[in-house]
Amino acid sequence: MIIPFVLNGDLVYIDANPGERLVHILRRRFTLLSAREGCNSGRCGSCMVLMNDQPVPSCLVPVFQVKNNSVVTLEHFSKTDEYHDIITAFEEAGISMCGFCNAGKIFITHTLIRDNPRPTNDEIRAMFSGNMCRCTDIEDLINGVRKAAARRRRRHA
Amino acid sequence: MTDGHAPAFFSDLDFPDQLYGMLVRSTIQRGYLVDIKPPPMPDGYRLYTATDIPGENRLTVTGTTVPVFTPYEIQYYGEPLGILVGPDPEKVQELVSEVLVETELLSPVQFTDRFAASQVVAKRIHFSGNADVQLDKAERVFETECETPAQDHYYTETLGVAVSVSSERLDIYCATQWPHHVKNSVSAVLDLDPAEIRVIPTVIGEALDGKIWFPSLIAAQAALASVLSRKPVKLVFTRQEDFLFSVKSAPVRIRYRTVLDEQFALKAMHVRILINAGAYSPLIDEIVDRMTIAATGPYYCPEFRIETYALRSSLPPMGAFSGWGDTQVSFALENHISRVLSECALSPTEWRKENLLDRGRITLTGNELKQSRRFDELIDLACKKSDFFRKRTAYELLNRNRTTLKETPLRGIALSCACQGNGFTGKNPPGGSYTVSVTMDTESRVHISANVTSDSMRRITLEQAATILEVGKEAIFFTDSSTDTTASGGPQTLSDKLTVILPLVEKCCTTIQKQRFRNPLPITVKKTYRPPRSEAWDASTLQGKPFISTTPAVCITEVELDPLTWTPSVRKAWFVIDAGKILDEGAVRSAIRRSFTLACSRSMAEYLVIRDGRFAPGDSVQYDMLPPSEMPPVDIYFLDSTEAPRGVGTLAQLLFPPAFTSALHQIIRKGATSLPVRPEDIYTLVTRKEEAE
Repeated sequence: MIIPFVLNGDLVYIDANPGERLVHILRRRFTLLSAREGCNSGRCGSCMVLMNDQPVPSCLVPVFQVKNNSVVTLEHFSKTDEYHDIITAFEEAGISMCGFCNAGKIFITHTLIRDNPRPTNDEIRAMFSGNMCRCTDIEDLINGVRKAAARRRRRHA
Repeated sequence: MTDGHAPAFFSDLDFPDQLYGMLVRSTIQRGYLVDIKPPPMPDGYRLYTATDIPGENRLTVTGTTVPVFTPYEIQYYGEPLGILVGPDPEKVQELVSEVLVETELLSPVQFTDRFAASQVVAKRIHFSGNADVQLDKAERVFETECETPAQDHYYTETLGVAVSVSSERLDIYCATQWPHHVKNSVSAVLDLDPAEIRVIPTVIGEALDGKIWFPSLIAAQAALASVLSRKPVKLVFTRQEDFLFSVKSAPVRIRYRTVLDEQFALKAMHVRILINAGAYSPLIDEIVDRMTIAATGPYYCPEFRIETYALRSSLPPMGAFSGWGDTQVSFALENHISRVLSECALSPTEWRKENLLDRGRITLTGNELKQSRRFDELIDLACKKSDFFRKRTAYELLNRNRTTLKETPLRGIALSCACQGNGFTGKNPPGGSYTVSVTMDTESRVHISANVTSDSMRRITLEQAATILEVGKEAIFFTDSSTDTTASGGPQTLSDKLTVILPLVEKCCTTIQKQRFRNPLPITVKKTYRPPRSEAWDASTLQGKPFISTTPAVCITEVELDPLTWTPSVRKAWFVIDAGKILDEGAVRSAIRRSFTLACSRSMAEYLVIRDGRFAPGDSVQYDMLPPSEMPPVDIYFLDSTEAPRGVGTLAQLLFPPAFTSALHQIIRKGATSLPVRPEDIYTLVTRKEEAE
């Protein structure tokens, strides 16, 4: 099946088995390694991408679903000011993370503060329920998200 | 990422002409391997088994051996029999599923209370006085048996390795706590000169002491395929393989029997610890020793007998989890103590203050405590911060007068005490052989060569080096941490990082700082850890000082039970800790909260049992873990101290589970003796109690 979709701003066509998972396509066909295979069940956040501006775990997305849609990976997103708000805030907050599920943490933060510039701690916690990670402390993460939100508000002011 | 960590993840690596590997595994729990029949193999696909190994078909870890591929006798379900490699990962998976393994069945070796001497792989009998006589003649003996099942480390990046091969050398990329062990193991298995092997550690994440020897096994398997096929090989476990066949924390059963004297002080204690070591457990000697010396915990007991047995069984390899068994012992001991205090209506704070080991008293390893553990201060502060006395009295009244569990609120509060041991001096090799070197180059840049893989530890190390050398943090670098550039040494375990490696870096930096304005640059200083003679540890008698330092701490936990679903929830936990001088408060608090996350998940969610030699649930998706987002609130306090910094990484796992079950005990008047405690377990406890009444 030929599947056209917009990947990181460019229209691409792939010939793939429609049931193949998006994470495999991204890693093997496009060498976009920021989407990583962790749990393969949508609960760790390692394979997160933005699909039509919404964070989705690409391990759960059969590739036919991206037909005529837009997919953004962390490789592309990391060139944006939005990314820099987040990563700088995370560094300021001293967040300890191995980096394997960065895509999840960053895309969740991005959409949360885009849709809600002043999220509460509970809202932040709720958003990270799909980000299973043994190496990051949730309090540090909350602190980092709040700092990222403040940075973004300042930039948009 | 900081430098020295490149490449970041082995799973991201790809080499030209690379093959993908997958292990062929046994489909029976125990028996003999008769034959392995691969399906017709397309060009470029190969299966390598034990007969293809040019060197030793075994991995040696601290005197214990594990086969790389089983040659004949199968010891557990899922044991590796060979590795199938090929250019297409999906095809490799398909071919592996078509491999026919012929076997002859044998009865599996079970883990039971009654066992044959041949099943014992390690044991310790440690005693003082004659506890058995005291127990025999006592009018009242308190007894508790606790069980802690296996726990999965659950690494987000599944276990694996990437190997590239050239005519000169073999490069192995893997996430390991012990790079030099990987190198030596591969050298022995492939009969290669160690100089031809380089191990490049990749990002390790929260290893939880589960990546000490297992990565060496996977590396040997992939390296064999790489050398024989003369192509790079990548072997990455599927999530399911990782869940079912990686090393787990060993399941443990612990029985405490104690006698109190007329003043209700501990008089004698008999402890029996049974560890399910699985088919192979290379670290079992240290686990047995550490569980034995943890048996009386922070308490003074004049007469004791501790019997620890590690039993072989037909299960996948069992190993260390952070704490090396201390956490299981602490759960059983504190649970037992809380029951004793509840049955005797004794104050949990006053009794502990009277019975906790403090300066001048002799520990279970015959060592006189020279410094105060400040438990009085820790308990007082924890009680004050949590409003412990008022809440405990109020909940006691409510719970005692309640006739049904529908009368709310269903609340309980409890306290636990423990000491985290830092830097076990009984390691094999002694002291663990750690070497660190620091170089200041001609442009005053500082290069640290040390096996420091955790992000927070790197931050603390950087901070300290910058302060001592009076240079900016941007001028400090961690050098490439491959086996070519770091000195051979022991594994980097959780508690050694702060206790051993940081002081070595500090010593190197102090020496450089003294020399740098007198001697020309560059200056390189190398330091190796050696335990002081006065603190020598006699492993044969378990006498001496077992840890470089200990971190005393107290936890109070307040629990509420939902009257409809009987789901327990933690209203709040309070930790008060004497962690010595705090170098980076943010990093220390994060470390404690991460340990708390693990402890909560262990206590309320992570359920892993063994049925017919296989883990149940048999699916990683069903393995319930509390996501960090659901962590209960926690307050952390430190006592002021100028003493050397001490480890805190496993404190919450030592303290929280027993405090949690003891608080539940206050509500339902029945003690949970196994983890996790789920609503169905509470239902069983309550209905059993009602039936008994």
